[in-house]
Amino acid sequence: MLRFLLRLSAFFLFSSVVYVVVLTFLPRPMPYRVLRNLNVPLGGNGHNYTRLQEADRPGDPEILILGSSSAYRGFDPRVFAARGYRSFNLGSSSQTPIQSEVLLHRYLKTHTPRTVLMEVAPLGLDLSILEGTLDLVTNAPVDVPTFELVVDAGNIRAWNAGIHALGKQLLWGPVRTTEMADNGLDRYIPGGYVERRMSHYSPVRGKDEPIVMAPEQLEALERIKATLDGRGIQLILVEAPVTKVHSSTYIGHDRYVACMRAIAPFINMNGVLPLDDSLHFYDPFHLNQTGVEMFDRALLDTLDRTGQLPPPSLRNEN
Amino acid sequence: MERVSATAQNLVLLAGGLFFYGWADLRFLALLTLSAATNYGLGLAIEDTKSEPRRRVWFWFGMVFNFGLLAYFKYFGFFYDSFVDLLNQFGGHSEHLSLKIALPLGISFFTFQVAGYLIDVFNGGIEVCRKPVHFFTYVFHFPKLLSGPVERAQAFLPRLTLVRAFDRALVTDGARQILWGIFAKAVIADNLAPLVDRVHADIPGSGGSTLLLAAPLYLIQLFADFSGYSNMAIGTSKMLGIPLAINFRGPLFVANISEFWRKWHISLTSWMMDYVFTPISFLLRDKGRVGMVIAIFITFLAVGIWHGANWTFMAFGLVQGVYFLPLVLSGKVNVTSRKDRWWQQVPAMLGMFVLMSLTFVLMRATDLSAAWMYMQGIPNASLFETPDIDIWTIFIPLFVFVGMEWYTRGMDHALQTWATERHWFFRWTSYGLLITLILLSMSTQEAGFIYFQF
Repeated sequence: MLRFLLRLSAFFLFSSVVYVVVLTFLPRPMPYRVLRNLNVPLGGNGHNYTRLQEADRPGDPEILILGSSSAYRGFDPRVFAARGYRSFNLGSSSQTPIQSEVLLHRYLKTHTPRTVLMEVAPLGLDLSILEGTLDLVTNAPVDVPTFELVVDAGNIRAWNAGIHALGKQLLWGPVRTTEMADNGLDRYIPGGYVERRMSHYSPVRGKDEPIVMAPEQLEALERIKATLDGRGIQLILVEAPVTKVHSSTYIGHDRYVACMRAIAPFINMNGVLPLDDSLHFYDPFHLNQTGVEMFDRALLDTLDRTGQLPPPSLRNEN
Repeated sequence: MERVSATAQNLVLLAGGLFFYGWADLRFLALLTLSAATNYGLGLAIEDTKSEPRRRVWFWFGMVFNFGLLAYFKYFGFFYDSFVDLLNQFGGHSEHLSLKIALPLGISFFTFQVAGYLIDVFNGGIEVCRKPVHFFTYVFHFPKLLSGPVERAQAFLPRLTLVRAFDRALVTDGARQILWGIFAKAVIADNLAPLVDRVHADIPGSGGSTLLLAAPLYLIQLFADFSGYSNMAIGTSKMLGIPLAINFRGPLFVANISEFWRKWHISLTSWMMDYVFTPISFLLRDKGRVGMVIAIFITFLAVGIWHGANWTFMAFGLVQGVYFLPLVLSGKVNVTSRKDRWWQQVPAMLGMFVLMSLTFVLMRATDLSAAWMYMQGIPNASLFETPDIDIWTIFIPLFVFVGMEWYTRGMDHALQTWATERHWFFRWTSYGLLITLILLSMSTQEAGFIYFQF
């Protein structure tokens, strides 16, 4: 019996090695959809590979933007530049505060922004960290904090992606490739922004959704605030616009607003602009380019009015 | 070292079975316990009663009790509603049952096992089980409790009288069988389920080629789901020292209908053969082939009805009976294909696969009109369009699954002898690769077992 158990343990160890070796030597990117639990394409849905490569390059933007796709598809650095601000958008797909914290720490090693604008989606504060983790682990160099995200995600897809990326990184170094800046639907704009070529949307109301704020996400937000306070960097939380039809499904929005305000200065841009669900969005969560420009200008106006932004560096240089 | 008695081992198994069933469906634990106690008592009564008429009374009481329970929970609502529909067609104004009767998990498997036990005791086929712990362990043995195999008392009970020691070969084979079962269920069945469900949810909107492709995919899904469960159940029981009956033996690769039913859900089919077909054909032995045809139709009607209270299941059973007609009329029911080389059988196997794929639409369709609509939707111009089913996400595992099932089609399970004679490195690597494929392709959506509903 003891001998059998020893052999069984040896078999599990052996199988683990087979698993790691196979994942390490599988081609990247995997042919689309062939293995359903390892099918996150490089770059993901939002040019994250290109964004993270750009984030590693030297530069001195005074505004850093964090958040989900509503961030990298909603905060256009060209609008910020027109007002004299250098900005960098470090948003990524389904990014929640837990992932923002990992990205922020990495970014602060080489950059010193003066303000961080963090987009916090009401429905992005639960514990669904799988999609965001997959996007990060596929496109960023795998380090200890990233691998902790894999463990926290607790999903076989995260494990596969994490080991796949880590194995390759250990053997051949971080992935080096060139992502197409323009894939016909989306265009990557230097500064981390992604512009979508869609201008119209027919809104459909979904079912009501209670806003869930996981303690782990709120704790991550608190830690982000403490880190930034320690470095003298201002944190401003922003709720980006979504369609009226979609925001009407929120249950518990007041509690969410109160909770955000308790953590850091909070600006709710949802429902305060004259945005039309059909004309200014291309899906329930994302503004089209016209909507983005309206939103960004209004946000900067609000920040200017309340004195929450540092003096613009580009205007000073000019 | 003091040895543990068989009764003590059985008590542990029994406690596990009771806990398992209670955890799965606490509401009906008392009902099944009461039923098991009744059958235990009836077995003793049949055995110990000297008077033949009284023995018959006890026996028929047992049959009515067991099948009455099954009929009440599984079929009462269906037959009541069907009767109401019939009355209303003739001008009646009756209403359907407003309260749906909950179905105790595993009741079909449970009933057939205890009924088979009583029949065997009555016919003198087995000795009555006098030890309640052994009998209850037989009934509540957790690996087979919810979805079979339909285990025969004559094979199972003697094993409970023996002290079971650790058997490395049995445990290893059990583990291999579980591994193959997990692959079949978690990778093949659960990934095919959403593809097939989507087609059945919108039959009118699906093209002919889509419907045609979804039919074999459902047959493979059902096979992978149920054989996967069976392999996990049998493998688990094997590891506990109690091998169970084999339930599938390569049924996707058969050359005729008779062979199919000797290889598909074997434990149920053999039960039906022994307790339904054989007595009826014996009763009708003077009627020649007509008697055999009647016996076959009744048997397969019973197989159909066993699956559930729906006209589709009855139609499924009747269609199987029709498929048997040529074999019965030509006297080839028990003839296995004589072609020596596998490639000579391929055309017949392909034909059977297509035929059974289309027939199993009846098992999946919600009702007869949906099944009919499905069949009508296949032969039209859209038959030549590209099917609207994204098969690529499952293609590699499906290829491995069907390939292995084909390669090992005579075995109890696909990994039974796979690489067992090879060097350990080759063997372990192949198992490691299978585990890796499971982790890379398994469905992450929760999915139940199809046969739990039966």
